[in-house]
Amino acid sequence: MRTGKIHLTIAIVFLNFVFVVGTLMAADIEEEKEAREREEKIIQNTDSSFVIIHYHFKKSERPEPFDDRTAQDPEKQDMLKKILAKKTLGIVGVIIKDNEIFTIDNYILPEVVEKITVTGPDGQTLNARQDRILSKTAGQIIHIIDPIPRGWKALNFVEGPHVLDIKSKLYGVSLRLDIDKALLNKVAEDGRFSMEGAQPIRKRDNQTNVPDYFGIDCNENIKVVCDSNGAVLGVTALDKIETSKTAPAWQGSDILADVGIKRQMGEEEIKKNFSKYLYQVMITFRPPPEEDEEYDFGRFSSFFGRSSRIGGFGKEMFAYGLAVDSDTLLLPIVMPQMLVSGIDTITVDVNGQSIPAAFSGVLKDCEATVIKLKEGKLLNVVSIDPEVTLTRIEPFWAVFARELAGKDLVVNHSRWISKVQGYENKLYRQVENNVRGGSWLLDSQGQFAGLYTRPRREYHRILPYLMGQDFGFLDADMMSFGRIRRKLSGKWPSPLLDDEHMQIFDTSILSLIFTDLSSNYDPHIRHLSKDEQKRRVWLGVEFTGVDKEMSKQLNLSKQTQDGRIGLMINRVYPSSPASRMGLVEGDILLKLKVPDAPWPIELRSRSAIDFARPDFEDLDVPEEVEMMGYRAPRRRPWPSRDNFFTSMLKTIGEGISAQLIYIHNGEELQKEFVIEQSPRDSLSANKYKDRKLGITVKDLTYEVRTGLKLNEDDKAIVVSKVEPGTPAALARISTFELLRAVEGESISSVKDFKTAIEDAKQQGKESVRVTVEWMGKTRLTDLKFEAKGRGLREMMKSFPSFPGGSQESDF
Amino acid sequence: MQVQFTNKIKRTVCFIVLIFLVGSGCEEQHDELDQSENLDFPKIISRAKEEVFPALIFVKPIVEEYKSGEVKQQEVFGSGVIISQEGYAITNHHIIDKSIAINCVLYDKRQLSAQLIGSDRDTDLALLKLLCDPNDVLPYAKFSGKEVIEGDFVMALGSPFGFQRSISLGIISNAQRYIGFKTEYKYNTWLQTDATINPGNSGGPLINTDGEIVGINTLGIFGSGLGFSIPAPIVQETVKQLKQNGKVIRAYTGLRLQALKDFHSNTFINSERGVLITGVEEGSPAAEAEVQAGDILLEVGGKSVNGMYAEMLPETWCLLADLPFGEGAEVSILRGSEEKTLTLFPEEKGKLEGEDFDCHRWGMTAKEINKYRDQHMYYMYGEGVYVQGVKYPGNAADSGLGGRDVIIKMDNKSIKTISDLKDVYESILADEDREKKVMFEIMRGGLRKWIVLDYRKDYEED
Repeated sequence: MRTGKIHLTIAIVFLNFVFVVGTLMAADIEEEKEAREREEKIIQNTDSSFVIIHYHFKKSERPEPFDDRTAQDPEKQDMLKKILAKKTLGIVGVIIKDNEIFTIDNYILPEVVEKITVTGPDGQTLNARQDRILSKTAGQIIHIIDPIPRGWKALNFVEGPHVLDIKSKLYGVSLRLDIDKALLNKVAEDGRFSMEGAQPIRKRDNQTNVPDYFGIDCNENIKVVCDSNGAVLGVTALDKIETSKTAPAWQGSDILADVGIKRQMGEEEIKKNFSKYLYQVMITFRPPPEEDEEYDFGRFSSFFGRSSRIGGFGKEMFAYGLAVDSDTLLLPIVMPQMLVSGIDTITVDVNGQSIPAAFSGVLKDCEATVIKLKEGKLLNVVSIDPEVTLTRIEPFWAVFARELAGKDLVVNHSRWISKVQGYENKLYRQVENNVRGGSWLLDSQGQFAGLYTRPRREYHRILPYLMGQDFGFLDADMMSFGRIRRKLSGKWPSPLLDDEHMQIFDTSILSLIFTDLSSNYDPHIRHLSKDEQKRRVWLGVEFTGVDKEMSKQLNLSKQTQDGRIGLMINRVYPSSPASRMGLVEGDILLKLKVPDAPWPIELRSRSAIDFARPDFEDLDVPEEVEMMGYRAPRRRPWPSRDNFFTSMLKTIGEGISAQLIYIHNGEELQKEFVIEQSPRDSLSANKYKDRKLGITVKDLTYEVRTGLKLNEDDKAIVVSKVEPGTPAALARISTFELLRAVEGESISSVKDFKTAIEDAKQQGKESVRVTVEWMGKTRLTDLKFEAKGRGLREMMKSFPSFPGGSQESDF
Repeated sequence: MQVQFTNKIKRTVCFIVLIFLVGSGCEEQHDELDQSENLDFPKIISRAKEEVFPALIFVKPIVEEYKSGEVKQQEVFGSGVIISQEGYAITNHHIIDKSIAINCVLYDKRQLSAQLIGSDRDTDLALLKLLCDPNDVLPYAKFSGKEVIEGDFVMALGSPFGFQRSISLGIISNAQRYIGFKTEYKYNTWLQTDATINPGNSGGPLINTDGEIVGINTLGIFGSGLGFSIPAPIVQETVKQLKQNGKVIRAYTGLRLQALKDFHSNTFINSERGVLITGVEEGSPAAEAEVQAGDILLEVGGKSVNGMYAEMLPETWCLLADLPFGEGAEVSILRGSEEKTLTLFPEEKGKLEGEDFDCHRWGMTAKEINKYRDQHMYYMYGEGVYVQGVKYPGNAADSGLGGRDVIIKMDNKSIKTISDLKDVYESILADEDREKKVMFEIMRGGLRKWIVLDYRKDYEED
């Protein structure tokens, strides 16, 4: 009809248009009316069942779930704010049966909750308690303790359609959380409710007319599910109403039939039963090897990272390990190589006895460390049954063991409902709430089911470097100790390494790992002997940072990204990989490509590097001061080999072949080099300490030779320490000076020195004449074996007539 | 004085040490002295004072100072003493070092200019000639010919802290103090006194109760009651040479000596004579003559040496310094039990301090490395030029250059001497078209470093 008139007058067209619009509007009005009726019906059916549940938090102590992570978790921050504002946490619930309320499973630990109250449709407030967690869907039941007022009604569920298809109409309704107060005003249709139709969703490969799910946006709230007539079909706290057979329950009858698990009782039982498999492990660390230093950095030391290092390492670390075999404990943590290499002792508390143990290895696939007892047996060993699995939706228990006035277990429940795409595009089970990394997982029956921890990837050890961390003062190793300590106390690790979600490593994976443990260890994490710990790997260069101006002057702005990256070489050690590769002073190192790393490591340094350098200014003390016999502390006249580059190479690992990208004569080159152990440097040099003489000497090492302009064949040893008041100090021998000869015989190693001293003593000499050198100037000095002269007691012996004589008397 | 004072303090760790001078010179004349025991002490003091007081001068040189990163002219204060009627006066080298003009205030409040006749860094002495009317007869002080012993009453005359014409009284604490273990003052021992010697006393005379000069006050340790004066005989000898040559010419052998009984390092050599050679400088005449560390030096040029104790060393140092150069000198040594005679060819001890240069536009000063003055730098880098100071604020300071950075290259041109630096500096400044940035290649802490000096901002204009 309308098309026939289309070529008529404009007026007709216009009228037609009006007519069409009018028709459409009429249809809308019809639909709207239907909807309004449905909404009214739904509200009528549910209005008297919605309640607000108020969690009143304990104010006596800082609530448990709030730790460092709080800052990053808006939900928890919200809770904290509520406590500060003396407010309660209100969530929506709905009465499903007599005195039972269905609500979201909010994982709030019972111990932080003082009480729970429920405000009903008539504004009355009643006392309630947590009852059970549902097993078939994510939700829980709150039990109202007080008698139910008349106006509060349970939902009246009707049986819904057995098969949901694309044409099924479902509606979700809930009370709006943000208008809590509105509940008290009985004003209908005023937007107190949020209501929406559930959208049927079919995945791409679904050709049937049964959708995979109906999308219903709960968003941390619950929804009552109704049909198009407004009849109540069920409830859910999930965003999807699934159609599969394994779908979480939502229909009223299924929810009512779900006996769930008792929460508080379950937690206590788990604590009681599982605790016996967890043993306290104490790990102590050797103080990290230190470069010789005469400067006392004093209060600036923590700024320079020195004392903080030592401070941290002096302390022991407590962890709880799970007994997986009669001599094997699994710790749910991982320490970086730097920490592992410096482990001093490990002891395990077995029935109050300290049993020595040793580091065995770190699992290469997940963050867990294996330690083995050196003697004795663990009494209770958990069974790793590969058949125990964590079923979808079903709650499971997460047990986190920590040291807090003894063994303290934090038990929490969680569940997994969906999988998310993760590493290598694979799907991984997503745990519903914040379970602490390093938690042991138990199924709903309390059987050991796995470990919740972060997976490890090949590149993890170099991650800080990959992320472009600049290691002027603080390197990743230094920070890791604190990080692990925080983790062990149940706090969360720094966000830097938080790039990947934790995963469930269930018993099927763990049992496979334990059948062949050694091949599942990370080869890069090993315990080292004291000497090995001091050894370094090298490229064999010293460097200085490049800045914007410099890069511009050198016409290298582009390659160095305006001086953002680039280490300019200012020394190449002879016979080093660098010298073999043909690196020379003035070359600029840009990047390092390491196998397994997703992208090259950018090499950069801030001016901080210069702090590690000797400064000859301090070597020149005013004459008048020296005249008085005083001397300013000396700085090491050679650079410490402990720089970010060598520690990075050590982290990457000896024997690894890496590609170095650098600029040589303005041209960008790439060359391969194998990270190799460097010759001994002053940290690892052979040393000899003569306590009586008060002197510690070390062999000359490559960087000392280069720093002091000595040739390959120059024979000497270097003084690394002189104790005040000792013969060496009286002989005016100082730190960093060279000892060239003893009694005119040149010495080339500390062994020579030791022999010379011993020989002289044997020959009955009272002293040896030592040739000392400092900054190219030699002098002779006598090192006396008996510096302080005879002690008083000795002197008395030689005067027998003196009262007291040779008697061992006190006076 | 103040110059040196500031510089030293900067690097002083535990002590604030002040140096100053007192000086006066005169012909060697000795009057018969009264036996003072019988006299009234205040009278003695008064008489002695009157003898020397008119000869005391207040020395106010205008010196150039480079360490702050720019050349600064400033007036410093010291003391001096007139030693002849025609107007020769002594002061300390460190007072007039780098002076461009010297003014002196006399006892009669006259201010006269003075001409620098010569100065000697090794003994820290300088000889001035007051530019007075030729007909003027100036009062002058005389040197004492008597031996100074501990306990002698002495007075220090000078202008401490610029307070002119002050006297302090004390005694000789030690008549033969050796302070040459590590300092450059090794050609003489010192008179140590507790007569207060403060900054400004430098160059003033230390006099005895007879009103004669026994020393020139040079060093004091602030607030400690420790002052050091150069003994009169050394002063007289130095004055003679300065008058003759304008400098003291010394020979360089490259030997390093140590007393046979060295209480400083508790090292005692079992020998009755000679002095221990504790080291030989690389490439020096002594090294070429194959003298070795550990040898005992017995004779120098036929004169036997005695270095049993540290305070005897200056004598040997002087003996070595007086060796003629250009011809062989015989030294006999004891190596083990074998006595040997070696011939060494001493060189003239050259410059004791490098040249300075002010890169004014950049706010920095540079200095040549000198093997005596900058021993560690000389060892590490050899000859070259280093940054003496940077001015705050200034281009060099902004760019990160700092004191003691050794300049290897500037604008890609090698810098070996101060004149190289001067040439490059001037050519850079003359080039109006360039981008006002200079690449420096320096050595810092033994390692090469590259710094770009950006001089677009002219701090002088602000």
